Amino acid sequence: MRHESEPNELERTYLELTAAAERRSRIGAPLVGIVGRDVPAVLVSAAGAEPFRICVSDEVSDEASIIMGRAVDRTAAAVLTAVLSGSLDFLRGILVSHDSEGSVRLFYTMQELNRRGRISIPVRMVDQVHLNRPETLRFNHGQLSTLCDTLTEWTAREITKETLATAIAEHSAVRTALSMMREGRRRGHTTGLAALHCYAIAACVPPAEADAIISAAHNPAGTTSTAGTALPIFLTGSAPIGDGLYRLIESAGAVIIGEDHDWGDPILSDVLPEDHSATRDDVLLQLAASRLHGAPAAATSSMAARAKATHAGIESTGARALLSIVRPHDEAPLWDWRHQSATSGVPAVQLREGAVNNSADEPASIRAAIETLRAAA
Amino acid sequence: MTRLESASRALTHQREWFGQLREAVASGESYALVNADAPQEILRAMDIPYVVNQWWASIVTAKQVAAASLEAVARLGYPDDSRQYDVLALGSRALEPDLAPWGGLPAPRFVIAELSGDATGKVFEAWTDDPAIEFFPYERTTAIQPEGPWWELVPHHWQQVFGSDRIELMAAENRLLIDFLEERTGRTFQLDRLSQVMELINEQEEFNRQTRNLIASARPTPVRVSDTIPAVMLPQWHRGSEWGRDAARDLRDEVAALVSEGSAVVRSERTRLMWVGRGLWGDTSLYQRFEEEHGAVFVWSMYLAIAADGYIRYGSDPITTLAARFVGITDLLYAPPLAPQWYVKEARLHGVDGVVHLVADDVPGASFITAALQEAGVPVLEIRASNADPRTIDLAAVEASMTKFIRGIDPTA
Repeated sequence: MRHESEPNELERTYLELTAAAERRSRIGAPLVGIVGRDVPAVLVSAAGAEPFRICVSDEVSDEASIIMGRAVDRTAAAVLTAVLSGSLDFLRGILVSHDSEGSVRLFYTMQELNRRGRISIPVRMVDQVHLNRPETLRFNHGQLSTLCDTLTEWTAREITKETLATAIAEHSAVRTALSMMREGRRRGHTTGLAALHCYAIAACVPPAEADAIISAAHNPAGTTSTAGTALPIFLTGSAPIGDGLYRLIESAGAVIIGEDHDWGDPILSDVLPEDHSATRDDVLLQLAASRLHGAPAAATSSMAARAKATHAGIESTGARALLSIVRPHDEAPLWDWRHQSATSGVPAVQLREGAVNNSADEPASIRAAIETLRAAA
Repeated sequence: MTRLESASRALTHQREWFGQLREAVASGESYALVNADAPQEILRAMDIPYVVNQWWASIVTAKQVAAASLEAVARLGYPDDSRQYDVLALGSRALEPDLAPWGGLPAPRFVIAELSGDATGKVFEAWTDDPAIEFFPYERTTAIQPEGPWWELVPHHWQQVFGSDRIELMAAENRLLIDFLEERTGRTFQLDRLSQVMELINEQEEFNRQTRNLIASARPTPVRVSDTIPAVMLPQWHRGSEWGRDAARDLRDEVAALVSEGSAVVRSERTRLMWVGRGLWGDTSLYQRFEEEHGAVFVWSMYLAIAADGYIRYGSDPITTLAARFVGITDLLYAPPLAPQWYVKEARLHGVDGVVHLVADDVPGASFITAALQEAGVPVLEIRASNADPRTIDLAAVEASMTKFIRGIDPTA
């Protein structure tokens, strides 16, 4: 998407996330790639590496498309495109969340391509599953323990109680900055686009640097007020690839005041342990439990939990409308919609298929949806 | 017209069994609807009747009411183009009585499934819009790389294929399911009874292994896949019963007799084909359409082969052994590297000349299956469609591309 004005520092940082990470790796920083929300980035930091949540452009190569098959959410194929291109070769390894069918297929694919010698980056599944049961928690806890072993293998640094405490302190500072940004957003001081950028920066930039950028960005004096004529909407559906969708929606007379995808507000629902005397094993257990109690994601939660969370999100943000935009082959949001829309308490519209492609009618369909919502709100 | 007595007997038995189930439910009995990838053996051991979701979907499709069932799903407010194979049963509940196959599927008391993909759990949750129905979900964990050929390891060394963590989680979930069912049915689970069920299943699958080996080594092939599929799968849905075990034995005996008589589907067999992927329930005659003109015979489907290689588990604790049967059963069919290696092994074992690969939306790893077969020198034709949604498949186009493919690989051409 073309930018209508010169990007500010937040946007510049966002647009350069991968390039900046590659530059940092060249001066010796070990970086570990993360796919999805369910990998605790704090463990990567505790192992002496920088966590870098892979954010890619909405571009799928023919090779990636053929290997992944067409019937998979485009996010997975876009990440594979980046991996196959070699643009992520600076990563020490890639950790893949079990956060969706697309991620699982991406993991199997990268593992197989690795086995066949087509790619060289080590990959590992972080198999955090999602039923809120003690049995699941025990399994997830064990998976995080073995993840620590993998990270130590990749970085040659043990994860100890002390390195964990340091990493938790760094990540907590970023979370505090994000929380303040979220509050400002709900008061109309931050656009949805800026919020999206902040969440991405928190996931892709070293904590101290991310803290500074986000703290500066949510300063009300430095941002444009979104209060006024823009329709505050709550966004659900597919997690966006890049920021193009946010730009489209917010240029069409709406402001995204909250969302339930894994590049947005739900990140703050995964809390970090606060007990500084906790053992490493206790911290791992708390991290595993945190994700089980965090905001429900479409692909890993029940329809009932999603409807309840959407309703709560609309209430807490003051959104006046609900907009769902769903990519092809991203099935879960389609199932959620019946109950989400029925219990949202606000006007609701769902767009499918071409709405998020780069097709000529995309802006028009989004504008029409927002006008419909505005008329009903 | 089927050529196998075993298939005819299985179909007759299934009709009688389903009629009895309908009568039992009408008189107040509870039954469970279970996805094929979730353990059914606990239900068997507790004498709780169950219907396997995929079996019912195959009936709905074969009776040409899949499209009407999917339209009913849409009327409920759910998508009709997602997880069609899983959701047909739900949609079929809304069919008019004159359209409902076999008198219709009664309302289950429980639905049970693994949380595979992004939406299977939601499909089964949708059943609970009826508050009288409860859903028991199993986690779906991710496959690991096995420490050798899985088909050799799984009977006794299953931990090397699936990993102890995954198996322990599913074993714990098996215990949860037992508690769940005991609370709601008033029945008592007996471990000894589950042990008997597991023994019967191993016997049944050992017979299936013998049948698979007989067919693999016979030239020309003595049976069609459209015969072996019902003859294997209907007893599979009754796994753990003496009837299921005996039906598998009878099939083995019948195939052995055909082999020893030198019986052939096509005397002038020229091209041996393998069908990879789910069955085309809407038109199983497709499998026979190339026999006369092209001497091309489908000698392989996954249904007998996975029964032969994928289900046998020996172990001292039946609950854990049961978990080892199901924790990765779908991985064996779809996930690389497990699945591609197995299809190559089976292609070689059966001496096939080509593979038709039905690639559905909801399965991973299809490109690696195709690639592995091609690298092994086996030509592959990919067909992309949902076997449960007739709207996604143009049978005339499929037949045309298969004809072209078969002409291209005919070794005598």
